[in-house]
Amino acid sequence: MRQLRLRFFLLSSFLFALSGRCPGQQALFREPLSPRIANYDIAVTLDADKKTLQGSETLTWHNPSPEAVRELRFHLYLNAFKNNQSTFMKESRGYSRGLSATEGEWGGITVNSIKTSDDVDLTASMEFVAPDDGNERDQTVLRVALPGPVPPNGTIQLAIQFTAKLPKVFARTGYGRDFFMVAQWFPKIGVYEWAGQRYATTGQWNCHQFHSSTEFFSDFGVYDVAITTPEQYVVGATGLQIAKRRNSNGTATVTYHAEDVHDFAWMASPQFVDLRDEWRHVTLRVLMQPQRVHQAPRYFRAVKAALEHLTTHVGPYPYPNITIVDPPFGAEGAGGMEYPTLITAGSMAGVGESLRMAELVAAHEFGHQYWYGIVASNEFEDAWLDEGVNQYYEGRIMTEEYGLKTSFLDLAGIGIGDLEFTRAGYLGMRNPKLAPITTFGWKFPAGGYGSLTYMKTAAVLTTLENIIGRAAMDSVMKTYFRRWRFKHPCARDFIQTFNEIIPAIHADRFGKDLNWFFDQLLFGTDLCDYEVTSISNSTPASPRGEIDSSWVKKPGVGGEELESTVTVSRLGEVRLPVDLLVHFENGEEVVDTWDGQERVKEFTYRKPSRALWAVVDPKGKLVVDACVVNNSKAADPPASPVRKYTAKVLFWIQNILQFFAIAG
Amino acid sequence: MNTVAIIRGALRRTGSSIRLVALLYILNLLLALPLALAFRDFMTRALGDSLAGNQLMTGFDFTVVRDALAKDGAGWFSLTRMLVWSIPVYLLTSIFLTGGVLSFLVHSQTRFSPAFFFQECTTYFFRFLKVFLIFGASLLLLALTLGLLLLVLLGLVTLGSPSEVTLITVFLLCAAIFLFPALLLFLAADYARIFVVTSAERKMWSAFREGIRFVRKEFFPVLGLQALLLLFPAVFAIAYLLLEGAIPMVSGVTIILVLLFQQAYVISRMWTRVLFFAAQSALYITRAVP
Repeated sequence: MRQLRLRFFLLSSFLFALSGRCPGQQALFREPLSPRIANYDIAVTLDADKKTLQGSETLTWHNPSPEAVRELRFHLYLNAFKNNQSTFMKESRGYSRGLSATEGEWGGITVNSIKTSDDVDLTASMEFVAPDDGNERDQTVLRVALPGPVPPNGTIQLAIQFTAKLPKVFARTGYGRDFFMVAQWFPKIGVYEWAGQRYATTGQWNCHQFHSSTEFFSDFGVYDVAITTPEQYVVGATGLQIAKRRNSNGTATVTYHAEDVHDFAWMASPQFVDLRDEWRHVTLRVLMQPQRVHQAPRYFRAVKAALEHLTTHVGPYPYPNITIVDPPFGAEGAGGMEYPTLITAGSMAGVGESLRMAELVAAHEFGHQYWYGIVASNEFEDAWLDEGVNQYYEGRIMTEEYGLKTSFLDLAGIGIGDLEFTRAGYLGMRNPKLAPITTFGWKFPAGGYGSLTYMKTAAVLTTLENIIGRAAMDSVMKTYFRRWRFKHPCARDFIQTFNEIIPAIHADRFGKDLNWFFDQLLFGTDLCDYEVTSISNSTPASPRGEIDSSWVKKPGVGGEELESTVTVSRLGEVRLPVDLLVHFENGEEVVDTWDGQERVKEFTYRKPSRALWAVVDPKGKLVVDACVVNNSKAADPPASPVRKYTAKVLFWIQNILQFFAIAG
Repeated sequence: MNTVAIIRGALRRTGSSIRLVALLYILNLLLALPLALAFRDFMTRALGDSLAGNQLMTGFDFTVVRDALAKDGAGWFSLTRMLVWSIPVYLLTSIFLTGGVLSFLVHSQTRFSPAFFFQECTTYFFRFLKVFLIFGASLLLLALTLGLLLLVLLGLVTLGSPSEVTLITVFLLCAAIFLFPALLLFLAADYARIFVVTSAERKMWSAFREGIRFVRKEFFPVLGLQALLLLFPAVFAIAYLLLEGAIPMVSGVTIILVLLFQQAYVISRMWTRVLFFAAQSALYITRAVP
């Protein structure tokens, strides 16, 4: 009888999970967009004074693998902030993204009980594990042994009671005065991978500890979350608000419903001003600080530009809404983050549009809806697949909307483009050869994670786009998006898409595949640097000695020719195809393509006039090239730039000295 | 004598001190030129025979600048160190020259003599150095007292602030509250120097006290004169910015033209400095208690 009940339950749960519907809740999507493996029904109450959460969670987990699963693993990310012994706090030394933890303002999460739907108590079988570094004091991964396995394609439903304490926000989640950014706040089940999925060689849980330089990874599902806060609080969350109820005890409960997402975050604050705008089918909601309401149009413009660009060049945005949260003063640690259909940006009163940090962050975090939110790569193991790909698209969006040289800064004649900033972020590293882009997130040496996963990846992808062409790049990325949306791709899948599409478009122009490119720039650490080493012009020597009659010039051929030699060098170890443009005194220009293989290559020309200057990579395709200054050489170098800036510098030094002289 | 009359007189006096202004300008140029030439060498090395510099002719190019600095990082570092060390050298030079300038103006010499000028510079150098040190110490004391108090107030007021607007507003108010007494100290030092030259005072603490007394006693005339005098450098700065904005430095001719405007502006700053001394001296001489 018990077996029958269990089978009935499993079948109905399976059907229920696939439908993804709450009883009575109208579905957002006619058909599920994702496998809906991990589905949550959560009720949570925020105690704004104590900064705590009381939560009751029903998790319906579907086993997608062909194997029986005998244990479950959960992320308890908040325990990273429980004390200074966690892996996160040890690795970060209490610092994250430029901010520091506040001593005494710890966080944490406690699973009070965990039971199956037929009331089997699993609480005693919980234990913390540390699969990455063996740190026994790290409590960010919880293993729960099951009394019986979940069969292939089976489903298990669990009731989990938990309490959480939010830390003072410095690393994405927590509070700042009366503002609460509640992210990674509930026991979240890991991802079960079977042999052949991503990098798995056997069936295993992919459930890493929370490290200082990693983010998150989880399965898609349906979320129904009822959030109870003090009634004056404005709440924003993943998904759509479907109900609001005022309670008799001075609180209010807001219910949110989200389908085909893999995380749920929310925020609450009594201060927010709620502003709305529309882009096609998408409602944009901005939650702004009252003193910064005048900055809201900047967010709307940036997110709309991102929506337009990504819809055109990648694929449709499937959700009906996006919420943009502007964290208040004192809670900047919550800014610059992405959650499904909710992002946090960051602005400052008085900072005008000359410095486009607010736009850049908004465009970047929205882009994560695609790279992370829909194409759900593993942010622990393949951080570059979301951060780097997204940074690449950020450059495209910002350039298109705000200009190539002004998309980051445009102030008093000084312009800096987003892509320039990205390139500088990579090449300006103390050691740009620190580690391959594809390093697992927590294994990066100090200082490498951000610059390599974000900046180098973006520079590499921009270089690739310049080599293969924008149309080809779009074709690949559209295919990659279509093929891997609502799934979990890895590096192999990304590269495979290129190797499939590019030969179809370009035949063997770039070889039979692009592995030569990816091996060097994704998996390697070498630098790229091409240089025009020298230009020389000479009159060819007249033939002397035994002269063959066939060497005599044919009639009608022009006058005395000059022989010009342009020497180009490969200073770095990366070999990429590159163009060489040579300009002659009579105005003629010649463009040659070099495969970039040899260390030194000479190009010789016989022309009626001398070569005046030469440029390797004249269109600046190789964004990863370490130095643009040595990409060109002139036989008669221009003196004006030096004179101009010497005059300017003289003037400013005279003024600076005179300023200090006032005191004397 | 009212403030306008004082300024008129000072303008006449400054107008007849062309050689003095020229000398001050030449000394400023001589101190700045080595740095500018060092920068030229740095830029030549960094850019080499590259065409990348052409990108800089039409405006700022972040990528070219970044790569040039990365190419010769050591050179750039040396240059910035040179600039940092030039500041105290110029400060001492300025203290040295002030004696000659004030002596020329206060004693109403009709004919500028470089030899006499430098002799007077030497005469007053150590006294004016002491005045500068007393001014510096007073400013430090002000910073440690009023400044710290204002910082604590800033912290308390903004502790529970939900917005940076409060922080910025209170900071600006505190800065204004601090800068006002700092300005009075600065003016006191100016009048202390004038007192030293007019009365051949040898005790600098007494001179500084006299400066404070004068500023307190003639508070409105002193501030009014300063405010009116500040119009001159403001007008020159606006004129320069408008001219510079209208002429892009994209060719040899325009580079030379803008260079000339730049040096004209620097000369105007020297002229303004002499004007300030002339006006302040005139105010002191007409108002000081005998």
